[in-house]
Amino acid sequence: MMKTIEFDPTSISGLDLADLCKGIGKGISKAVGSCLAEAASVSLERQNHSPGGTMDIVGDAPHSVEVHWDVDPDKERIISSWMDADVAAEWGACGIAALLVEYCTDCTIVARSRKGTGFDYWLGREDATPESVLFQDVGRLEVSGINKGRSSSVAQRVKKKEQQVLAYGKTMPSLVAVIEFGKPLAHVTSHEKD
Amino acid sequence: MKKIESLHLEAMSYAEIAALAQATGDIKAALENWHTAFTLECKAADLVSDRHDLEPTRGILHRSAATLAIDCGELRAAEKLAARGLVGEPPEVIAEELRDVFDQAMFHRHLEVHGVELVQREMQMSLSGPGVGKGLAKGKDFISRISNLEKILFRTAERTLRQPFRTSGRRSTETCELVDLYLSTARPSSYAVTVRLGRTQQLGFPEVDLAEVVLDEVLDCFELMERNSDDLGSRIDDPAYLRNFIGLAKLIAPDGDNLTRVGFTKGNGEETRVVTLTSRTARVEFLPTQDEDDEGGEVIVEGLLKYADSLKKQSEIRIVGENGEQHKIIVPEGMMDDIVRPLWDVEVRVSGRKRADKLMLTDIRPI
Repeated sequence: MMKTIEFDPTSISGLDLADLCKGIGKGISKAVGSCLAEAASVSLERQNHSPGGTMDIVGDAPHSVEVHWDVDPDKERIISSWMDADVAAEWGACGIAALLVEYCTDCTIVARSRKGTGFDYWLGREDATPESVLFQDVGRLEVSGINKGRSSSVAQRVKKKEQQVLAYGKTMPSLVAVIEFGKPLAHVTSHEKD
Repeated sequence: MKKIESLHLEAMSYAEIAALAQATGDIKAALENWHTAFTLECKAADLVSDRHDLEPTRGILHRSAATLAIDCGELRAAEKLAARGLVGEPPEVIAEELRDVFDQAMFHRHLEVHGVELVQREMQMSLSGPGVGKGLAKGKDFISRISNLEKILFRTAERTLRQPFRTSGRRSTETCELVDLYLSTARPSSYAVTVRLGRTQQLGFPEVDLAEVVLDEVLDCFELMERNSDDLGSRIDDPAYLRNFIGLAKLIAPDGDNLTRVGFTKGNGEETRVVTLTSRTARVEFLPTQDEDDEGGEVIVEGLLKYADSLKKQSEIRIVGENGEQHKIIVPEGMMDDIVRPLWDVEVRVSGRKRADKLMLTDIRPI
């Protein structure tokens, strides 16, 4: 029975957004992974970051990693297809969080469901049972994206997400990831199931 | 289980295509794919509807299907699915989300205008939440929102007319006539009233109806606030007007406790436009004010608003704390008249950035 999601980024030195294009677990297809990668790169480029720049990871396990992506020669077309910067930030944040789960935990994304204006991603062990696709013995990934925010905005967003997790009564383990593209940074905390 | 799994996976594939189409502005493709995703997820939910032993699967599939129903405008189906999901024993987290989807479906129904035709220069404002009964709302919740709506409409009219931000003095009689606010009697659809701007023919503006422009502009800016979009800053390029709009919109938005949604409906039939404010809008932050002078992070003080001086170069207020200590707060242009002044002699919570021995106000709320 899954009780906790261990998050340890110290063994990695970089995230390559292109890895999203191969799909992640059973929850993110190649097509969707490509969109998440595109949204993440657009959000980083909007804040004037270049491939190979550093992203700080703060929260449970502070660390820093380089973020790599391929610059599309038709940059304008891609930016114009993500005109709504907030939507791009939300999608991009899901992409970065998915890579952090894949490389820094012993879980993977096993399922997704529709929620609010986005999707809920559910985490299971690599050797999870087939039922995990239907949310049996899974943890939850809570993601939020901010284009450019002061540290107080990030802290506020983290607090809100963590309050949600606490309000749930810890009925399932969860990983909370708030991604800010201005600095950029990823604030990641893990919450145990009671 | 295999059948449920394949239906759910297929539904999510269509939902992802729909979400992507929506994100990139292809609304027609988005709607078609939302509909297919809803049909498939609904079948998956149907197959587990009697499986009360299968939580959280049962609850999650019902929540997902109900959300997809809202995405494609099937509000009655959303209500039924959310209610059926709640009949089981989902974990509290999922139950809370099912209740939220149910509220959303109900609120969309409240936003429909029943038995009243909204004509030009009119819109409907609806309040909904645990503190609102059918046709009954707390006076304070309603009156403060109508008052702030009137202020935001008037300021928007002044901005539309390219008038500089008015920090003192009365409203001009001419603008008053163009955008004066009229209210209908309340209707028992949650709690709804028709708001009408301007009584007289608008002879000064034969080619454009200022009241219509103002209503559309306010709704556009509400939408940007709700999405916390950076575009609001480019739409309202005068910082005083921007601070004023954000401050007033936060006061119109629901608190998330007594009120969970404040909705606006404009137009009729296929021309109907609906904008909903949730507590997300109330959490939008003010723009930073001259950050280079700030000496630290955000500071929060609580106390009684007791002193206001708008004669100085920078308007200033003082908050008297529980033990008599005084905090000097600088009020940036755009906030004094409409946002700070109504809170005189009220217990408030102030957020600000430290600047010398004072705070530069970023937010103020009654406690």
